[in-house]
Amino acid sequence: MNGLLATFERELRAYFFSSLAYVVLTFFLLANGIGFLIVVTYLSNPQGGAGFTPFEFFFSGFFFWILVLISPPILTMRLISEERKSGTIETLMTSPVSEVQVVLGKYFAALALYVFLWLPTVLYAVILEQHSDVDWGPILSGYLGTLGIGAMFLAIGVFGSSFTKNQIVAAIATFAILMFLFTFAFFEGLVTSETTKDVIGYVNLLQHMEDFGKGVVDTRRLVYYATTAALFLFLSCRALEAKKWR
Amino acid sequence: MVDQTRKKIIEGSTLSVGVVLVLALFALVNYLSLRHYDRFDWTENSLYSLSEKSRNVVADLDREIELVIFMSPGSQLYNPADELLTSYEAANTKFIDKRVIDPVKNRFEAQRLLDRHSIERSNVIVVASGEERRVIDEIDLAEFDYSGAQFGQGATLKEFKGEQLITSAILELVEAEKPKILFTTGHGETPLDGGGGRRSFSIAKRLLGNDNFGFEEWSTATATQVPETTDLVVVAAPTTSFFPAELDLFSRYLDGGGRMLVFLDPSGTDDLTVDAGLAQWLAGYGVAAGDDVVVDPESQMPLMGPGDIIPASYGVHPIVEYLDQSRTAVHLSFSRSIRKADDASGDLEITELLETSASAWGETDPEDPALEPGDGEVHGPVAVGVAVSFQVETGGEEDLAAEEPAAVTEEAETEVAESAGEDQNEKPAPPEARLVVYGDVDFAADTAIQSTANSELVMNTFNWLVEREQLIAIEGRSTEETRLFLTQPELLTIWGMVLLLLPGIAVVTGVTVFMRRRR
Repeated sequence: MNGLLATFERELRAYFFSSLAYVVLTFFLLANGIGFLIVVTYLSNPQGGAGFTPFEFFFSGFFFWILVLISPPILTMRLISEERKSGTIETLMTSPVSEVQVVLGKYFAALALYVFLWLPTVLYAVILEQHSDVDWGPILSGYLGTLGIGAMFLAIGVFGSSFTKNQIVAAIATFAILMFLFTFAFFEGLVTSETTKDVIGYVNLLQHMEDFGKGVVDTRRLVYYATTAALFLFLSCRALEAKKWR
Repeated sequence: MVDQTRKKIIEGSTLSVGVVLVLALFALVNYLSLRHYDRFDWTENSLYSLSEKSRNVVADLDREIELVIFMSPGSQLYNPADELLTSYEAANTKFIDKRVIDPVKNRFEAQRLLDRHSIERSNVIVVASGEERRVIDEIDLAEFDYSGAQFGQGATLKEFKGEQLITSAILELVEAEKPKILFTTGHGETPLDGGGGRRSFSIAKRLLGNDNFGFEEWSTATATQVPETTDLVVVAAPTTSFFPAELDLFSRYLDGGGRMLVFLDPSGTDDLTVDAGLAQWLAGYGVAAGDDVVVDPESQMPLMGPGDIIPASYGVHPIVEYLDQSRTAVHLSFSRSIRKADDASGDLEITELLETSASAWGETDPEDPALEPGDGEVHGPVAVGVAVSFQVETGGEEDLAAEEPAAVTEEAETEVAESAGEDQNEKPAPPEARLVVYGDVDFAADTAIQSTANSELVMNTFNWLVEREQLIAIEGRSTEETRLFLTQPELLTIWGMVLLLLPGIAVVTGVTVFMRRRR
């Protein structure tokens, strides 16, 4: 546990004491802000359409998915690959800290930064509440879905980072896996087999966030995120362990 | 060297086996999650939850039900239908299976569905169980608002009625028989079916038909008993008297565990109310039917007279429980007072369902211009509807003895004795007779059933009388258009805070951290 906490603190300090976190945060807020304001402006227009809440679109729109797909590779690309490149991984592996503690410590630090990026956007709902009725249920469920998908994607990012010394390669590999998972959403309508359709529907991230954004929390989604994150963290630990023998 | 190689092989194999096991565990957990799941609705108004009644119907299922959306995803009703059917499946993953078939993209599957269920059209929802099926057309699923057509806008979804139709369809499939409702005729009753401008129950019949009720008209004049398999007899505001033999027929039916619903109504003629012999008959069941018209000055609505009343309170009873909890009003027009009789027998469980305010009274002389409560009149709060129930007396132990078979051997004697003992311990509860009486018929007839929550009151009454308390009329879900009403200054403020203030704080924090690190 001490090793985990020590790794966690170290990584968190590395994130927040560098300008990178704030540069990412600024662009994150700008992108999210633009997406949010487009929806708010549209719904305020009497001649415009209606039928969905601002946050339904906020959690399933173009800007949301761009940020959710891009930020995990960026946040995780240096986690293990940088240590491998600089040679500090050997020191780390010989210290009384297990691979599990190292992986989890780094993972939770990345997750904390991910939460830090999304947290200010809660203020959008607070701002909107001053001028309109806001149902907090779908907003909270939307953030739950965002956290779940982020937790899964970050675990995949840690795995990607554990296989290479090159951060760019780690980021690209992670992004490729995330895109592979994301594009399942577009296959559901193309298959005819019921079983295949069920499986694809189960992993259809677009549908997941549509549900979360409406206020529907489905246990299937949460199980999928938790088990996938656990799987990739396990694989990351095994990847680090395998390095020991070489 | 060899040892090191062997060690690496062993560790590599262990690692591989571990990975395979974890992958298998991952697949298993997700498979179980796919088959057994739940959905939680976090919206304030439970927009995506099934009603309690639908959940009860679904929870009681003991046979498989297949719900098929046979619609193009481009249809305006596709998403609400898909969401609704997913809720049904989540409510009972063991017996409910949801499928989606796109008639354009999945032509092969579409054709199989059409052939299997003998369907000739697309854009439907199919509710199937075994060889039976019910088909719900898209056009029946929702009401649309076309008011925007003059401005070039398309139809907007106003109310989605899918849950009522699907739960009704499921009920039809799982219930062996429809509850049989008989409406008496021959005494000037309000008829079941309308036409010719007459007041009727045609709308109630349609609504109750959705809940799988079957209806017939029944002449009591020459009947010697209520037909067997009758679940409910309705006497709807008769205007001429019943013969004693007919009233005796009702008594025998009710005392044998039958169910009756009686609507009494002020006649609007010189005789204030038409007795039809029912008032005295009802007194035998603890119901006091006033020879009056209830007036409630407190509940007068614009453009309506003093005889229009909105009950101020509900009794504690399943029929009105939901109305009370949801604070939903019903509207009665020219009602007689229907109360629990002062000398009602203690064996009768009587609940006054609807009560007026304290300022109401039962006016016995509506022609009186003073229109104020007088002596001898019922003073408020005045009840205008009651529900009565009582246990029916059944045969005693001699019946059981008559049923016991003759013992042949000692072993058989023991077995019979044990079984008789078990029969005595597990003796079924005596049947319960149920009676509901209302002082007005208009609220249930076409004239006013769609006013306020009258239809719910009617549905609840019928469902309670046939012991389907798990059902009520499941109201369609109104879809509210979400709009924001922001003034220009408000919009600019939001723009400023979201695009300038928040990112600005991030920039300032980043610069501060950078400057500190440089030092």
